[in-house]
Amino acid sequence: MELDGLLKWLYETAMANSIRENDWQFPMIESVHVLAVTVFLGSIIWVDLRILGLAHKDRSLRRFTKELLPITWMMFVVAFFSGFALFASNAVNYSHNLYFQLKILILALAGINMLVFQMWFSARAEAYDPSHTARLSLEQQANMGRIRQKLHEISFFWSGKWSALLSVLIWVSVIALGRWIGFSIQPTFAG
Amino acid sequence: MRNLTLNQFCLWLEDTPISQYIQVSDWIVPCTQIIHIFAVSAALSVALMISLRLLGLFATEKTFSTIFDRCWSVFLTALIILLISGSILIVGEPSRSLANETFQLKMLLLVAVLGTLRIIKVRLANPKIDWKSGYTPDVGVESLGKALSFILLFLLTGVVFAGRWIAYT
Repeated sequence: MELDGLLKWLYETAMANSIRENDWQFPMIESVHVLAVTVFLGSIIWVDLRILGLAHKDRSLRRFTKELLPITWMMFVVAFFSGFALFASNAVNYSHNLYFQLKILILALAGINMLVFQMWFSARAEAYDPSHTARLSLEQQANMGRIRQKLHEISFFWSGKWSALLSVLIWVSVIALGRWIGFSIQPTFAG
Repeated sequence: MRNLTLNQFCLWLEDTPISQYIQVSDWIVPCTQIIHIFAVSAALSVALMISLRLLGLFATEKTFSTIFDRCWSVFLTALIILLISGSILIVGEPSRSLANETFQLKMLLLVAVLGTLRIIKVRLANPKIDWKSGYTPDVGVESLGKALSFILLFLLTGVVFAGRWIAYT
């Protein structure tokens, strides 16, 4: 009930009114949203494919992510704000839409996956490089037996791959649900 | 006269069994649009890589022709998927697409994108004039590359915008 009150307030803000009642604002914001989402998806999937060893295998993962992730984040910010503006224009209806709710849930999962990936995996990115040999420091290697060392390498190597695979599935689902929202909701856009 | 013929063609297409089947289906158009978006995403991302490489912001340790060839194969695959999924959407709603000026603009922009990529391939993705980071064989070639990268990104942005505006015009 409280949430509905907040959403109703959002729906009645000057910004939401303006988007609803103007002929070109909704399509324009939606176009920006689609552009940001498609570039975002493309860039993040390439990073995931690189981790999975299915693309740009001959390139350093650290360098590859350093080049692409700024674009990914920039597009994420644009997609977030444009998506929020679209949501505000029909907030109550969107919030009651099952596909929208699923999309938000999966986006939260994506956030957790990205956070886990960033905190745990990024420090070990060299393990995914073509010329990689030493995944552990010399001190760590000295304290570990060969078998334990190998198991250690395999475990984080595959954890990163599972994270990348999960990321691909998550973003594909988010895009599919996002498109399905358009077919399951009655827009209040006047145009 | 030409519009009349186009409108007649759209009406004929709308009445075909396949178009009728797509029109009454609950899932064909949404599923095809989702596939279309994924293909757009693939095409846009590799075009972005080509542009970034031309601007010296991506994979500068590799020659331009290496990156272009890698991206070009993905772009072509995405283009084929776009043509197939786009054709399904057109058959489902011919009047909304073929007779729509925004759709016609989108197709023109797409032709311009292909033309730009062709120029990039012929003029720049040539192993003989390849350049790496910090090595510029020809200032003119590098400037051309930078100009074409901006043109490519501008045209692709236009394609995406036009694609979305078809629904509103």
